[in-house]
Amino acid sequence: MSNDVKIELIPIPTRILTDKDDIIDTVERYTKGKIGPDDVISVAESVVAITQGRAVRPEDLNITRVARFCCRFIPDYGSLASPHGMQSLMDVEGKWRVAGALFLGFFGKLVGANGLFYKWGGEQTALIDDVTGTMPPFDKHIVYGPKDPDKVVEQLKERLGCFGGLIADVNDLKRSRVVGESKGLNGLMAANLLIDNPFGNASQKTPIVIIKNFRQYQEQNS
Amino acid sequence: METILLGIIAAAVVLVVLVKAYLSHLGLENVIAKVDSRSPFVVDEQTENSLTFSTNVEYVNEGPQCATIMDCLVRPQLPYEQYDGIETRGHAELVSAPREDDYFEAYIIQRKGYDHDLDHTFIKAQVKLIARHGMTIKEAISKMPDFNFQIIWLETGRLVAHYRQVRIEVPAAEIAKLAGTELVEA
Repeated sequence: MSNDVKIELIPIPTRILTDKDDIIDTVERYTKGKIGPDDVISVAESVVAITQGRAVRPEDLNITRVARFCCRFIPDYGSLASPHGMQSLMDVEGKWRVAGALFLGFFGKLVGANGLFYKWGGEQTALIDDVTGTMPPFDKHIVYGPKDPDKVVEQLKERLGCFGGLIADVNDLKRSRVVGESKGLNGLMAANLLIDNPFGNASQKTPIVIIKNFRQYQEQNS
Repeated sequence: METILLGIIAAAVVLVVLVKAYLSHLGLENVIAKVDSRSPFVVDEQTENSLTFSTNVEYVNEGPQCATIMDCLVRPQLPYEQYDGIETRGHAELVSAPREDDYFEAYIIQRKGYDHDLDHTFIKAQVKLIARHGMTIKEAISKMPDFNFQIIWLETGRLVAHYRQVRIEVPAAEIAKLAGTELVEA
């Protein structure tokens, strides 16, 4: 990081957001007076998805034999390792598409080609969070990735008048991933600043983080 | 043609057998509630008209796949038909993450042998007894019969989410002793 630019991460606490909340209005309300034209607004992926109503309870799924079978081939720590996790993916990406990608991914691995399942199984393959993946009361839900993330961040940027908007998937395992980024923003550079997970872990309620002075930081480091 | 057909059938059979053997080798989660080795009942709180007691039950995953306890509750079984001098309330919580809101946060129990002791956990099963008909809790307990409560939990892993349960007996004499009273003839 350049010594000239003082980057600051400001986590914004909120109440638990639900599908009754509009993410744009909510972020605007909570960040009023705290964000400027050089800053980036960053929102946790799962919270955007929840406000879009993209969470489902396992008992509401009709779990097929194909899902029960396919989930067995995912390592047990994965979000698709449970029958309901796999079924939730099949419901949005198609049962046979997912099964086919899993089958081809398995053979791909045999010849040293990794990641084919995630490439061919549909975009939600890497975005779904199984139960326990999100804070209560959504710990009993499967949470999909957000819909139209790039559109959401553009709306955020426009509404807040800030430098950029970012939807990120950050966890406590020092992993951050860009799910949506506004035009002109180096999302990966911004996401790397979130690697220590300022969103907090499961029981904390800070789904919004303002990255202060990111415009200058990006200009100096590009 | 017949040979080719037989060959295809044989290959399919071999494939099915191999897949079944592979899945069998991977195994399933197997959560065991160790009721027999639960901790003795202890009093958590006692007032003039109520007594809250609890026991800790170890939950162990004996299987090679991780399991999730999505929810857990304690269900006392003391109907008024049997004894209407006491109202019962149940509560379950993780010993490692107690909560005051009666919400059970879904918890992963890792596969058997997983590092950092994450292949087991303890659940505190708590029962509150509230005296009725103007009795003190000691009076109410002194006339109370033996009863039991169930710990019911929603479990998943490789298997579709399903409810399981265990039952714990509550000898009235033991609770009376904890409450500082003794049973009288009804």
